[in-house]
Amino acid sequence: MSLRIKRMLCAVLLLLAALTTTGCWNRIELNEVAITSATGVDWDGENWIVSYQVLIPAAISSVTGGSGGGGPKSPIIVYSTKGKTIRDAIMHSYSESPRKLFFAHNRVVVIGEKAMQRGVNELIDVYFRNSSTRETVSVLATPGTARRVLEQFMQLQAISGAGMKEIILSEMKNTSILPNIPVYQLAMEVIGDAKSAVVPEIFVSGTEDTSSLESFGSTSIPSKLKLGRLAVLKDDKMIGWMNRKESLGASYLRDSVQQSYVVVPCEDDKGKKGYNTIHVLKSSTKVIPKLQNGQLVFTADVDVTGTLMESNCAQDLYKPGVIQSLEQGGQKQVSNLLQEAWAKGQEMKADVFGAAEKTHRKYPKQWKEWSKNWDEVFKEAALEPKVKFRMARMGLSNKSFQYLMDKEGK
Amino acid sequence: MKPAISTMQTVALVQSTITPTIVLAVPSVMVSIAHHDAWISGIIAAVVGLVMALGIAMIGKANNGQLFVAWMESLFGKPIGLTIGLMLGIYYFNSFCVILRSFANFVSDIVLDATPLFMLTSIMVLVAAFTVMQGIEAVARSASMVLFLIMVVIPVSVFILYTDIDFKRLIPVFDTSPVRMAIASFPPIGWLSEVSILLLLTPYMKKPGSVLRAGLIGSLLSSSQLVLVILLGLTIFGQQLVPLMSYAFVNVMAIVEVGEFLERIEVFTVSVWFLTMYIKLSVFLFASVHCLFHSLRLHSERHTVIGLSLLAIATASGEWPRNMNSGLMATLVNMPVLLIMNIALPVLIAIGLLFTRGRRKQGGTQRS
Repeated sequence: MSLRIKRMLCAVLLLLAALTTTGCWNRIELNEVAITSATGVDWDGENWIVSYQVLIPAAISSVTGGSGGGGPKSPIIVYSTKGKTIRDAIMHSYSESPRKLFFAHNRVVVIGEKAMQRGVNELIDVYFRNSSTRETVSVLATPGTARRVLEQFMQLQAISGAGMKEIILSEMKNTSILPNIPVYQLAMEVIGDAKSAVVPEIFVSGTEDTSSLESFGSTSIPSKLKLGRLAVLKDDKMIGWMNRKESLGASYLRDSVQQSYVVVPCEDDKGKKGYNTIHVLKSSTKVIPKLQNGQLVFTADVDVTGTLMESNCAQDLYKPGVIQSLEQGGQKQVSNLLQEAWAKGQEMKADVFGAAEKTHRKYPKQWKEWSKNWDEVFKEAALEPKVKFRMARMGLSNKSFQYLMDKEGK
Repeated sequence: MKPAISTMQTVALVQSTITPTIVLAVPSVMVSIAHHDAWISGIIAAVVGLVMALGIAMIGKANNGQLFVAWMESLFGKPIGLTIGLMLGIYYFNSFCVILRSFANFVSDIVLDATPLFMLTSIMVLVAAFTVMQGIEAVARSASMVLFLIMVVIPVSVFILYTDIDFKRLIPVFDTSPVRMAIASFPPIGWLSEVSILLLLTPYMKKPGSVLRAGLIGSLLSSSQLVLVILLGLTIFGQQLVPLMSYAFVNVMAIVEVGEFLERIEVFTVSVWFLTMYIKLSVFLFASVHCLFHSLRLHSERHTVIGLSLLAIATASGEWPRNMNSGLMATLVNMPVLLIMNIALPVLIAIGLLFTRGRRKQGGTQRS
């Protein structure tokens, strides 16, 4: 074989190799996949019902102000499938959807109350077993069905799945009442020493649904998707709810407060009552287990820094004692939040504050005994809040407007 | 044969030989045994790894530049030398098939789930065979480039994950019994014993005297990466969740979410890991070809590579009908083989060296 033919053969072989060694055995075009922005999971007593909020890319531009004739079209479509297992239900989607479901852009998974009560183990297994799903997806609980939540449109955000994720992240950052719980964190808490976890609630606030774009023809919409309480899980099953106050207390105890607000009652010299609103800029909590006379107790050392945002009490902030009373008020409010959350946790026998992990770390030998009956040990353990509240800033005014009004009146 | 590889390249070869398998499935196995003290088991394994590297380097230093099989034959006679060469050739070929299948399973699980296994193994073997045909120098150069990439990727990954890391998850330290910690250190010790590849590489080194340094640094680099993956897994997910993960180092990177612009960066980590995987495959194919070619006195190295590659594709694709079978083979069944071939055999060689020392000295004196 001449050198020239050899070279040509080599070139052809290399070209063939370039075609075959890409590793892409099959190809899926973008117009063959159904991009899922939110997933809902419900339980009807016998089967899992999985709902999908699927994007309609062509319709998104018409909603967000792009060109397109025939008026706005829904940017999302919601449909559900049923099955004995979650993956079985997803498999049935092939019977009714022209496109293959694509979960890589899924932002939230909403779980209906009945499904939460049945348990989240299966869902966690699905997320960790399959590479197409992501463990960073935020988990939300809803008192009704997850499908109804997925069907709602949202103001300012065309894709409500992405909007729900943005709401929870914004809530966590600005008020810290509810935490953002990704799937992996839910798994960590469910399988942790206390076997207790929390999931934020999302619900439809209002009587009618906002599932039609016609609702956006007026300045107010009949209903909204809203974050509410905190679902509490024990051994992967939901056992109850914590109200928003208890939930904020739990956030302090879990050391997950980024920014928040405290409303402190106040009273001026004449006995007139009002409120001061303090913006919590920074907070850190250390829950420390201690043994007192053989009894396990916990100390919550909370360090809060705040700034005054609003005051309707007549007060001169230059006066000695005013700031101290503000700080004492903040201290009392935060202490109450901690106590209420702790009591609720004890009532539900659900240690969602990470107390078990801390006890395990500090008392590894005793933990072996306590871990057998942690719920009872936790139920008996008292909490001693030690709150250090520091008013770092007073805003741009050093006297309240009410103070000036009263002074003018004199 | 002309010495071709530098000490740094040898370090890169050793670390690429050990790391891809040691960081793949081993961390979750270790955590399931030693819980949050698994990182201590990693350190125990690292120390044992250094001792093994020291031992292998000491044996390697006794070689005066001969190729391994020729050296064995000159030391112990032709039949014993040939047997050792054949045993090692078969061992390296067997290991090549096992790791080939493990890597194909991983690729299939993580990214290319629709690609037939046969296609994945064929492509991997094709790349490894092509690299081996370019000679050990080409493999060594590639290994040093991959090492550089690892040195960049690791600090960036740790920096990105910093906010998710909670060192308290490692407390209480020494909570697990010493027995469990020791048991957990066995799987990585098995993989770290692959430092014995130095016995084949030493004759190719420009400075064979620095084989000890290369072995120690290479082994330390690999065990450090193992400890790092365990630490990241434990401090981010905690001891209870890591055993659930088949490939903890991928899960660790998968949780990175910075706003909406930095997500799914595990793809980059996996890409760099792919590079180390190809180096490992090349090194093992090179080792099996090297041992069999010289033991059997074959005439064409190229044809040996082609023959073994085809056999490897068939074995890796057809030997284990289920992924779990090959997983069991890689984690449990292969362990005694690793320890026999990488520890017991070198120990026997060392004993042989001690016994023949007097004869060699005598020979050396007579020659001079």
